[in-house]
Amino acid sequence: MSLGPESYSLYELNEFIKRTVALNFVDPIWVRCEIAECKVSRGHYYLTIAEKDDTGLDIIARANAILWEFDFRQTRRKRGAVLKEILRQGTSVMLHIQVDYHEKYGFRMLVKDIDPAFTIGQLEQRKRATIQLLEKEGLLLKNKSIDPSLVIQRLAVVSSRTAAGYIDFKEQLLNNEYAYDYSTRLFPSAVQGPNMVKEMCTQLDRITKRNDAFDAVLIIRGGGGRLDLVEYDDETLCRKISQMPLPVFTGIGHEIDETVADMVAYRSLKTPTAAAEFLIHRSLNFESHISQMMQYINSEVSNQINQQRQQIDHYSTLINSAATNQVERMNLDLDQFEKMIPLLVKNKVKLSKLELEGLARQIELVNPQKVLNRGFGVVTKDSRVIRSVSELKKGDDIKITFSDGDKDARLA
Amino acid sequence: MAKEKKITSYQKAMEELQQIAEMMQDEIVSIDDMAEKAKRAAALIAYCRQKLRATEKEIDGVFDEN
Repeated sequence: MSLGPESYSLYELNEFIKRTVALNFVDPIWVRCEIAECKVSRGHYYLTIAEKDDTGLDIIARANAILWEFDFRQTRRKRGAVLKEILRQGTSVMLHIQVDYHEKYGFRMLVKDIDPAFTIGQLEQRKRATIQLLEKEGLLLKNKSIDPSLVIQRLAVVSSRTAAGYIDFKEQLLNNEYAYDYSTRLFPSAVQGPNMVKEMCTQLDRITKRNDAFDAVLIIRGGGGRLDLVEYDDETLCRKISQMPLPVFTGIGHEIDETVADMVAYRSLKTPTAAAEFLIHRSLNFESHISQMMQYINSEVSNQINQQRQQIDHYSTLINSAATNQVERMNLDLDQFEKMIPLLVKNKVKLSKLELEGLARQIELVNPQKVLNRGFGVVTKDSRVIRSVSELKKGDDIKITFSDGDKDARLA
Repeated sequence: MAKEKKITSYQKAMEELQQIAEMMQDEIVSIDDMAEKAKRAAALIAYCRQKLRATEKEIDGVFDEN
């Protein structure tokens, strides 16, 4: 009896396939691919993995992959925190895959392990390629050749409104100890993830249109793992940064690696906080500089004034001392005269006194009384003093004055 | 009285200050002009100091939203 063509039940078929697969895929194998989609549910990672052609546009191979929660935890323990960064849309990965066929669920790639070095290696390659390209176009140093304003005060900030980095940054500028003022205008954009490049480029274009209203562009975000920063190696974004008409400062919060964006920027700072500090210091330097100049100018003025004053003092002193000398000399003269006068007077008086005394003595000597006292007498006749015997004759009446009186007499 | 020349930017202020400092150094300023120059320098510094602490809030009106 004929039963038609040979047939199998589905279960039989699937079981057969399962055995075939198991036979050919005893151990997990390493597979290079890209994560096209990544969903997490109850700790299990449901991935769509794919391979694109050389143009990077068409998918030439695709599969569903699962990372069971148990395996995730194991891999996490083995590979570290970077695992979570790798498991996202767009990453190139090296997966340790157990090819599995389940009679009920069909083909599945079960992910047992991941090699992070591959992913990072891919990034490094991409980064290197971007750098080479930009270097060839002469764009690596272009933004650095801008001469920024002395004081950077009007800021165009590209960041996410809710990013902790942006909030810290604003806070620091607002409360700086020197009371410097800054105007910041936020140009919101994703700071990581697949939308970042497009959004940032859009904002950078807007800023370029009004570059006269700003002194600098700040691209800031809080810290993140190395893989969080992959977008900052993007060629389109970095080209745009290098061609900005304003100096670009990056403060994207990483400790280790420099991204290409950091390299093409005017200056890269480690964190948003460091960027704020940089701006504040710039203002401080400027203020110190002009203060110094003011001090210099003031001291020059002082010096000049002092010089002039010294000259005036000098002349004034000369004049004064000349005058004083004159006066002193005159005073001395007067003093001398003053001293001399009494002496002169004294002398004069003395002399006169001596003269007088001399005269007096002389007079005394010829004092008649004295003569009389010595025994002489004065003979007078008719009140006339007789000096010669010839004036007398017999019978004359004479008076003889003695020292103690007089007597009349008649000459015999 | 010399007319008050408007100060327009940090750059210009700095340049003028440098000029004044140099003139003083070369001693080509008479003592009467010195007072005037020192006053001008003080004005420049005051302008800069003030501007550092109060930017003209011109940015906010720059963009129509979107």
